[in-house]
Amino acid sequence: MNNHDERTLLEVNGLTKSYLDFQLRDVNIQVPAGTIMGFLGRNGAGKSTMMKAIMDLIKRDEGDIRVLGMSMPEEEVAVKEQVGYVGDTPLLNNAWTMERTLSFARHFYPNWDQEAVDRNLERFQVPFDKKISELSKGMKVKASLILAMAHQPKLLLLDEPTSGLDPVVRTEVLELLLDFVQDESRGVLFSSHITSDVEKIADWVTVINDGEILFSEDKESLLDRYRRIVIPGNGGGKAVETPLLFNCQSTMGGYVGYTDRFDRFQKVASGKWRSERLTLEELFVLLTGRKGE
Amino acid sequence: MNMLMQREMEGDVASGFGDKAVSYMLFGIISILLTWVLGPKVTGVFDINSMNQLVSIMCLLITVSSMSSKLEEDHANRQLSFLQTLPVSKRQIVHVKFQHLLLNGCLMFVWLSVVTSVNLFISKSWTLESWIQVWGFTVYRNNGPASLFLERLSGP
Repeated sequence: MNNHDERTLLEVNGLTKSYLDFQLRDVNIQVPAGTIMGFLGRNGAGKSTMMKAIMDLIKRDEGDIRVLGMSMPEEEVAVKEQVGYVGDTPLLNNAWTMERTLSFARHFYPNWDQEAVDRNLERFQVPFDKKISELSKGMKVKASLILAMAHQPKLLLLDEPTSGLDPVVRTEVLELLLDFVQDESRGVLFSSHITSDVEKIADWVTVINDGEILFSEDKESLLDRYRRIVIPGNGGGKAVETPLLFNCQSTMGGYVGYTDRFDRFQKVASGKWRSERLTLEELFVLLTGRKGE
Repeated sequence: MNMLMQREMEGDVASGFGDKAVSYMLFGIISILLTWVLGPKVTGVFDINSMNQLVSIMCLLITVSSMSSKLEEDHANRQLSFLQTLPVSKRQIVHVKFQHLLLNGCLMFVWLSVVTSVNLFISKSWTLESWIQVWGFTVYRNNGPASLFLERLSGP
């Protein structure tokens, strides 16, 4: 815990985990304070595996994980006091009520904030005395979030919290996350395959495919860097030949291609062309589809 | 650590008590029916040693089923993963689980001792040998490990 940058909440270096039919390979990411990092990947790409490895719920093969400069799993107790985790399925005991769950969990956290718990219970209208098994899926996710945030963690790890939720609940959850990072010393790593959710709230985007990180960078610069280039008519041949374009296809009206170095393309491209900004979903499909080709 | 232990103990009494009561009642009714159909000698309710053995086996079954149902319930609710997200070390979680199993074993021992001793006292046949025999879970007075142990103690 020595050359740790105070602004970095989570550092994952060279994380590797092998199963018989799947391998997480050399994963490196950093989550800076004050940011929400959207962690995108297709089903089975390795998002949950990485989240679980960070929480030490599964044993990793190789790699180094540091949370707030503290090493996992060597300093797991101190780390978990600063981390809130919501798994891909809620880890709440179905036989307990929310009241029982909270009164059990509060004994483990020195920085438990009962006021924040009451506020969030009120905000989300989570029933206090109903058994967890009687709650709807959306309520269970909200209950898990309230529990994960009850001890004022510095880092929230959320493994697909919005999947399977209706748009109203999803929006509520996303708003809660935005409120959470109002305090610039906190951060969120938020895995999802719903790109619109990530596009709405994330500052950083990390994309994983087949157990490998494709890229991890600031969302705005990523969306600036990638563009769809449309070259009308038959005169676009010269532009199409440039190595700056990939996935080029001829269409009825001309050519369509993509570039990941739009700045450079602007300088070298000649003739008539126009660029279109991609949505995160289009970019995600383009890149994860491209990798497999 | 205390909270973890409390959580383990909680399941023994409160959670699933209704289910347990139903299954024990069912077990009791089946035993009575079997005794009625086959005759009291088959289940040996008139023989003190057999009765003690029956009680011991029932107690063992109840304890084992209670332990395994607690583990199953934890597994179904992904409670081991939940506990690992709390700021406690994995070593502590395993330690508490083990302590709970040990405590259950000890409670079974105490309960069984009381019940069998009472049974032996009521029937006025309490001897050290008969009491130890219960603990060797032996039916046959001269073949079980407890009687071999007693033989060794008492010499040739």
